Amino acid sequence: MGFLIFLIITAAAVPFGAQFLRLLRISPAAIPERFLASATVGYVLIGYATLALGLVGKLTPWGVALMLAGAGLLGLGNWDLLWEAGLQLTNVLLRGLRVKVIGARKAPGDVSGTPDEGEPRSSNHVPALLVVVPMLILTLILALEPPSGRDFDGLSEHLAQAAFYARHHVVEPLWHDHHSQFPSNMQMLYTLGLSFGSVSAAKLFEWFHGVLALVAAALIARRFMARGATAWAAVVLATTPMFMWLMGVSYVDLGVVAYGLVALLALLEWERDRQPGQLLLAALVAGCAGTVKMQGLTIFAVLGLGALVIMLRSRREKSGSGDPSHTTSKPSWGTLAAAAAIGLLICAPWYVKSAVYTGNPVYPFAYGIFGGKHWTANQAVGYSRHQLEFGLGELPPQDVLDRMPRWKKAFVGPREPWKWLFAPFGVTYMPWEYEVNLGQLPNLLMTSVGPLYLALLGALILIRGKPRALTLSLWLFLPLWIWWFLSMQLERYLLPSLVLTVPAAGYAAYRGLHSGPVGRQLFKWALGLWSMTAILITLWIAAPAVPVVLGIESRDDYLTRSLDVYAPSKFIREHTPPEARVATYGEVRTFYFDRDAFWAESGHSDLIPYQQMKGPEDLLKRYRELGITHVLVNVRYLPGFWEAPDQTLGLLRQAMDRRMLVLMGSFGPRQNYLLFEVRQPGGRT
Amino acid sequence: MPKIDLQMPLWQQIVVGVWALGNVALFVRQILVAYAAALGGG
Repeated sequence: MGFLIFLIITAAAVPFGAQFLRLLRISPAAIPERFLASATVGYVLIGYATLALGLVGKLTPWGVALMLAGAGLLGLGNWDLLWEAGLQLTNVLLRGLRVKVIGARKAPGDVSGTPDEGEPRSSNHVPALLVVVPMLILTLILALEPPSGRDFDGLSEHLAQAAFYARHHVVEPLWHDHHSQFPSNMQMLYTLGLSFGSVSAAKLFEWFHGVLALVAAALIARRFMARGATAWAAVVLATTPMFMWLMGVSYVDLGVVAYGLVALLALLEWERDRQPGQLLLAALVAGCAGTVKMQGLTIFAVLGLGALVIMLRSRREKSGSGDPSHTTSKPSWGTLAAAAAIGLLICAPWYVKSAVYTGNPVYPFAYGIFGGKHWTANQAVGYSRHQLEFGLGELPPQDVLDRMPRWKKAFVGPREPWKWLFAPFGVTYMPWEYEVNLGQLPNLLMTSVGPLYLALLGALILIRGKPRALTLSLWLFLPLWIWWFLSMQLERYLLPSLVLTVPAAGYAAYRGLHSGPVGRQLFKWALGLWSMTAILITLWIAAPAVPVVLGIESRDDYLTRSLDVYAPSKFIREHTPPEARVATYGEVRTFYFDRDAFWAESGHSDLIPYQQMKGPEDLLKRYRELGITHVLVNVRYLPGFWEAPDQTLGLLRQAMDRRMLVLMGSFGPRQNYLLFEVRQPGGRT
Repeated sequence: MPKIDLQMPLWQQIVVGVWALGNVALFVRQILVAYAAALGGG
């Protein structure tokens, strides 16, 4: 059912996006490119329509159905795009199936050394069939799995937000969670799935953005590097552990990953053909990345900078050229300005919304410049410090940091200059330093980028005759890499930038396999060993979910045994009134509550001023003002809960001692979850 | 796309090939070591 809902929404979004591109006269001629661009723009437009419905409080299933029907009707003339794209993809896979027959008839020594004269064409698809298809199937199983322990941000932020919007039929700020002020196009798509009661449909959007990214990476390699690099680019991306993990959860990063690659594809086409429409399309799609995450703005800016440099070089070359044919495709400042405008316009509503609600378009960042509602200078410092702590090495204490000159702060702790050189190795082999530390094994299997980027991009140094597009994509990656190093060294935040190098890595694999007999063997072993390992890893992660996906095991049983917060969530769902509002301490994964939740710890907002409270009466009064009826505490993540002299914990303990908070039950393997009911005035609970 | 000579001198084949295979092998070894440590409660 979830799959059907996802297909219906996609079948409305893609033709709608195609129609929009046609109206702007920037629709690509080739089917794969048109499909990618239409899906990107279509999803963003559908996301905006969902937001609009939510802002006027009409986000009901009927409202959503009418909106989708309207989008489907507007895109009516473009429905053939769905069939054409499906047929082309099927054709690619079927050609791969024929390879053994072709290969068996091939004469010995029939492998020449040029990209276009090498093995039979269909042999290019073998890696895709043997590696990418199994990875797609396994990640699809993960996408159809009920959101589980691997889906931390989904359960706490993305799905939880979407569930609130779907439950109340409205989009409004969730002041306890600053993430709800971020650009949220993917959450809008999740809201659509949840409006029809399907969390699988919601998760499939993230999975499908991974598929879009795979196609875009393969197309870039095929169109601009070498036909033989096509499938290898897809293999590099599909076997990236971080990418595999993200395809199976309801994070939003793959939206930026996909749109960044589609934008690169359009930019490279403009670089080759210099048609103004191609630049406008690149900017539009890059702007779409900014509707998913603020990080998309960085990619938009860097691609824009790349376009500017290309244009300046081109103008210089052409001004010195006597060839009159060049003047017809001379890029103009007007085109560049129009591209910048169209890219900014497509993402602007999210930032305007944030500015209207909070006073800060990039809330809660840049607090020193814009400020921000329900946010304080202390929270801004703590938030910034938390982000800067990722990476190799320790950040100096805050008081030491505060005394440093501004320039020096950028080069201490994880940002010491030598670590910039070491980072490619650190990111590859020590992913736990660049992510939330889950333990070495989980970090290697799920939040690393794997070995192929270092292995293949490093090999490019010795490879001669690199395509121009490859060099360009690496130049575009460089400022993004520096930005990542100087800001937040989280490996997940590196992925949208790193994927711009995937086609280059695919090309390196292709060149290595055709470098000669010794090189061929070594690369075969390298790619084979890693592909097999990646499939085994994914199989290992996906296998436990197979029974629940096939309906052999109930979702309830599966979640009870695999997700610690599920038992208290289920209790809340079954034993509290629908209008209940649950404050949480030491726990933010509230999706399965099916009730309104409130992250009550002081780091999340200033809504509960613990430091100004004199006793538990003040706390209870504030609870009542905020409509909080229950309190869930996860002692496991509140060290010293029973004795620490912390103001917040002390107030909670006093409220418990004086039976202002009445224990309803305890849950979890160590009874670490405690659920309380807030006593109302007059002693009622 | 222009036709280019894909062949590399033997020493380059060895350098890029060993670099590629070495990195993959080292990463797989990392996984196995971490797995063994996890099994052993380390």
